[in-house]
Amino acid sequence: MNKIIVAVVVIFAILFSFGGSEIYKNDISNRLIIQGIGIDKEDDGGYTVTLQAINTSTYSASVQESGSEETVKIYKVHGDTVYTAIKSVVSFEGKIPLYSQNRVIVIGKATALGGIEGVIDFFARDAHNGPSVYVALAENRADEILEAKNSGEVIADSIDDTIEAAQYNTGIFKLELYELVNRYRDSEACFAMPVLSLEEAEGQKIVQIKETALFCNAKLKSTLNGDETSMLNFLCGRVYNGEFSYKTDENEKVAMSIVNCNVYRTVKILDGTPHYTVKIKLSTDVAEIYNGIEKSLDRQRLEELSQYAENYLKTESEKLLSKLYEGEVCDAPGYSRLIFQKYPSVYRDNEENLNALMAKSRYSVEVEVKIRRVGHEFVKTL
Amino acid sequence: MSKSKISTFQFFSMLFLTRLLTTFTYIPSYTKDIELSDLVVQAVLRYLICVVMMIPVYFLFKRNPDMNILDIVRNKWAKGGKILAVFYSAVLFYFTVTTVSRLDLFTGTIVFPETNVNYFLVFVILIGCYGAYLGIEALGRSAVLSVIPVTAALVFIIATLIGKIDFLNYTPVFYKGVLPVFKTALNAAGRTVELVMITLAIPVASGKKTKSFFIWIFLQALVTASLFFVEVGVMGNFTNTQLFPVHSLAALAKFSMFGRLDPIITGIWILCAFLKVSFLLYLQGDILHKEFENLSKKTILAGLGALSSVICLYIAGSVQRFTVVDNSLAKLIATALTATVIPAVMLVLNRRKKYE
Amino acid sequence: MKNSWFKKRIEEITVQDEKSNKEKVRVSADLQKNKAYFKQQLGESFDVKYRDCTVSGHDFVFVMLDGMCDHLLITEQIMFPVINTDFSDTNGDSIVYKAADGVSASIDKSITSDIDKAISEMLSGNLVLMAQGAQFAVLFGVQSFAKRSPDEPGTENQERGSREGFVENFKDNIAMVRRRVRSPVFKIKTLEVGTTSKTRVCVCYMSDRTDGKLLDDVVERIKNAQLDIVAGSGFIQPFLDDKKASVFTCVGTTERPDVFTAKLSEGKVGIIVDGTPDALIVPHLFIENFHSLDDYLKRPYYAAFVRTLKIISFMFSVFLPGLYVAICTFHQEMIPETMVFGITSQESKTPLPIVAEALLIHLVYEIVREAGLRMPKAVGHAVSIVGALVIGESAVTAGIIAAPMLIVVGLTAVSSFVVSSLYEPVAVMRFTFIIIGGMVGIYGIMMGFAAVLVNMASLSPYNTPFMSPLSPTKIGAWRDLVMRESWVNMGKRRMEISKMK
Repeated sequence: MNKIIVAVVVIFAILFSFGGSEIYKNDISNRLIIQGIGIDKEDDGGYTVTLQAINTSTYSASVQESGSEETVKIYKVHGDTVYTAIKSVVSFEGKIPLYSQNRVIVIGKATALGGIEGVIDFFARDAHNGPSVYVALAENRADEILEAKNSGEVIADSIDDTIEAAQYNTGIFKLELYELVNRYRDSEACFAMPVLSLEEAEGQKIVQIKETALFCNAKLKSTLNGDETSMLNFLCGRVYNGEFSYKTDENEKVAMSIVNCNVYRTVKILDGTPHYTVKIKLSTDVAEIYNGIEKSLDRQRLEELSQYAENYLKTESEKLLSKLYEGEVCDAPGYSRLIFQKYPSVYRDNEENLNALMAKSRYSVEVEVKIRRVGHEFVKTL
Repeated sequence: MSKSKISTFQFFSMLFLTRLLTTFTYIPSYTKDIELSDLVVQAVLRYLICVVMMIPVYFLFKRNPDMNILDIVRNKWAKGGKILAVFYSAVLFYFTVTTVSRLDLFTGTIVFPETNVNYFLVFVILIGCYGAYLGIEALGRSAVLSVIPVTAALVFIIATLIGKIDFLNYTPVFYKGVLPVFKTALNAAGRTVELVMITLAIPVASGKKTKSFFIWIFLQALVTASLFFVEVGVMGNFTNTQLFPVHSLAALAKFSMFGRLDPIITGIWILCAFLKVSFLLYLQGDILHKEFENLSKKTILAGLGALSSVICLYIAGSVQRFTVVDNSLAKLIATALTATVIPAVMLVLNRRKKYE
Repeated sequence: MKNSWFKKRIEEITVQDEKSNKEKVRVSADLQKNKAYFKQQLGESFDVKYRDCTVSGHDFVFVMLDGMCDHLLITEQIMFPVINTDFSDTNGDSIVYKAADGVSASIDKSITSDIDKAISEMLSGNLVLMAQGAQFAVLFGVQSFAKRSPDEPGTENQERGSREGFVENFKDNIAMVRRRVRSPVFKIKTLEVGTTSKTRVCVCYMSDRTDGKLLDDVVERIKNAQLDIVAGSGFIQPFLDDKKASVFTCVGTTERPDVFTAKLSEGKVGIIVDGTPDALIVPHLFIENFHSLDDYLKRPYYAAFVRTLKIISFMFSVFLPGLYVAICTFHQEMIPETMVFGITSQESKTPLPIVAEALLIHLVYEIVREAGLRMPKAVGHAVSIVGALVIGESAVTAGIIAAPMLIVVGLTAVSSFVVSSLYEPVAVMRFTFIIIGGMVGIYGIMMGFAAVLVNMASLSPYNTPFMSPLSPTKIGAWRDLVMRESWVNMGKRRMEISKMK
């Protein structure tokens, strides 16, 4: 009897495997694998969603058949919401979208100006959308970024590699979905987002990140240039590698390569006013000294270089803090949380208008730069 | 309780894994009254409450080391033993149903959102019945072996994410007061069916039970607190937007070119689910078999499996039904009654008899 | 369900084997009667030879099996002395005793009054001598038949160690073991199994370390084995196995006398079956499948490396296809970015769902493997060519299966041969996990794994947990689990299986 039951179960399982079942719609070969999503808000209140999906009609080298050589296909769909727009792709593609391979969400400028609240909900709610997917803002429209081609080939299929470069370049601010939602749920919903722009040079198009967008109450408020973005990364303690450069009084341009960076942020309330202190401790290598080849690097010279670096970083970061807080633009570094942590009663009292509290706060930055290496010393011989 | 003996290491390994399942699949609605950092505080507090809840059991079993609560009751009042056996079975059955339903909610939300894979929960119950049928020795040994991959998965998550902790994500402790934290911890202790398991099955374990119990509590508190610490530090407010935040945490754990290892990590948690369902069914089968000896264990397990499958399939189709069934207060009352109140009553009655 | 439908169908076409309750038949004093009885039992078999002779007025008959006796030995050492013995003052039973005394002491001799036993011994290659007037028969051990010389076992290849393997003759096998254990502690109990075949089974053990209960249990099981013919040790294996159903066996096998000896030294019981080179060892633990003699002959660090490799290979061979199917069906997020394009584009060209593709290609692989095993060696190369080219390359070119699937099959196949002793459960589990992976993804595979794990944990052959020393945890035994201690330390204290209970 047991053998009969086992035989029936096995036969059923095999028939199930070979026969039709709704599970097979989940097969990787039956899914539209999305690698990038762009969202643009239209004037009618609806959304145009641009999907970058893997083109499975491209054959591998061992199979000979003519077909498109592009590795990605672009779909442009419309809908009242992001989800309805994406789902409508099934009507002409015949495959269910798969979001788990999605690497980047690009939000159009118009969408950002109106607020991203409605856009983000789907991505945070769907379990297959990874929490570590990158979020970026398009300089104009998201579809321009995702559709951009170079010599017939879509160039933006590795857009996440561009954002990934943030770990090597302080001028890029990286934002992942879970970080966005984390900051979005703060009372002021302030965060920063990288801005993708299309640049054309010698007939070639490239996607670049030159700026960082600032959001407050989940709406686009302002932008920061590359240098300001570097300072923002310092203030947020998000510098791992990268470089910065400054000018000395002798008109030398010095480039420093960052080896290690630690940032300590504290707050004290004195006379009812929060006093923020940001301590940045850097370990750097001297990468280049432009116009300074006649001078040898001795101890005094190194101290001078450190001093210049510290002054530069201090000045620039205080400038940025002033821009962010005194202008009531955006608490992108999240410093209001320091008050929340250390002085919860003060936070509670000012919860309705945190921006004003941050605007009246005092900010000071202390920088300590240690030069670890200087490379080979290059001295011009007489 | 059956005469099989397992070591305390095996017994508490089982409890460690079964409790971990509840931690892995916790839903933020249970902790909505507290701030993020209080998650870590209540993770420790809940286990202190568990220790306090186990005090009557400790004294009761000190006197009667080879008898579980039902044996003790049966000694005093045979009919009462029968009634209590059915009551304990019902409590365990309730926890079985909620465990499987929560697992179904988890898999339905995370793994099979587009497909109706209800047969998965029938599969779980079937395997659970099989595990229960094989007995406590098999379960104990399986638990020891399962501890390794589960702990490895946990360590992997914590190790890969510890560098991503942002200390700005932590909130002030007791921001909303001490009482909400205490209430949350109490509810969490109420969801600890392991206390009921100890009350029923501790005679099966041979070895230093008290020491092992405290080691278990300590490790449980450490693991839970560490997990919550990393979760809050990495995800911050994102935690409260996810139905199963620990799964989202696993999704963030990266290794080399593998960006999403959460199916493997959460798949390993299924070992915990299997052990929990099996142990719960085993205890029910054992209790009912002792009271109704004319029914074989196989029949009882088959019946329990069928009944729980039907109920879980009914609940599986609706989140609303799940929220009705998965009631924190009901669980707290059930746990408190079975793990604390009844043993306390028996302790008092036994003391009175001794005095007389 | 004693009288179930299926049982009745079995009873229709089979016959119950019953132990013979035949009464003992004594050797008759009448030689002709004895000869007639022999002929009645053995029929007209051409290989049964009867040699009559008369010495000192007494009639004798030698009965032997042609092809199983050493004729030169019979002629020179038995017939010649008997013919030259003076029986004139001897009568009755003393005739055979005098005949036996006249034969060289180097020949095995025994005397029996049971004529059926005499027939049975004659069929085992002994020479039977009967005399007129004597109610006893003398049996002389003069076996000589064609046998294989010890050769390296084909199924257990080792880099180092002896090249000897067990052969079909149990005496030669015992001799090989004796040469390795020149100590009186090595003992043997000989049993007969099989109503018709009466196969000799030797239960070997070391008296100073084997648990008496274990030995008694093994002997009892073998004695109670209801078999008609024992064609190989595999016939006896199920009787020695744990009663719980499992894909894993709790009975180890080996063709190597050195391995056999080493297992006996741990207090285990070994069973050598006449006619088969596979010896059985009980109790057998799961972890021992990953141990080999080479581990003990090489340096400990290398042994640890090889054992780890075996465990990983085992995992690959069981789970890899199922995981691949599960990932491609339910967990596509796990596929790294660099691989997703390749896998997707190739899988989208195949007509079958991934789970069906996996089942099909693994089935084809098993067919090719089985064909390679049974096929005559001369045409064995053709199988490998057919397998590699036709199934592999052509199937991918034709778009029936995808290249990643082929890689998975290849890796799985190679991995499964690293631990060849586990090939049976691996082959079955692999298919099961493919189906489960296709139905419920990684979570289903983990549930299946949990079921297998608890099944393995429930096995306790001879009160020794199958998963020892992992669970129940015996830390002391971990000195030889994956890492192995050096013999300098390990040799100081030996491991005994009875301590694993």
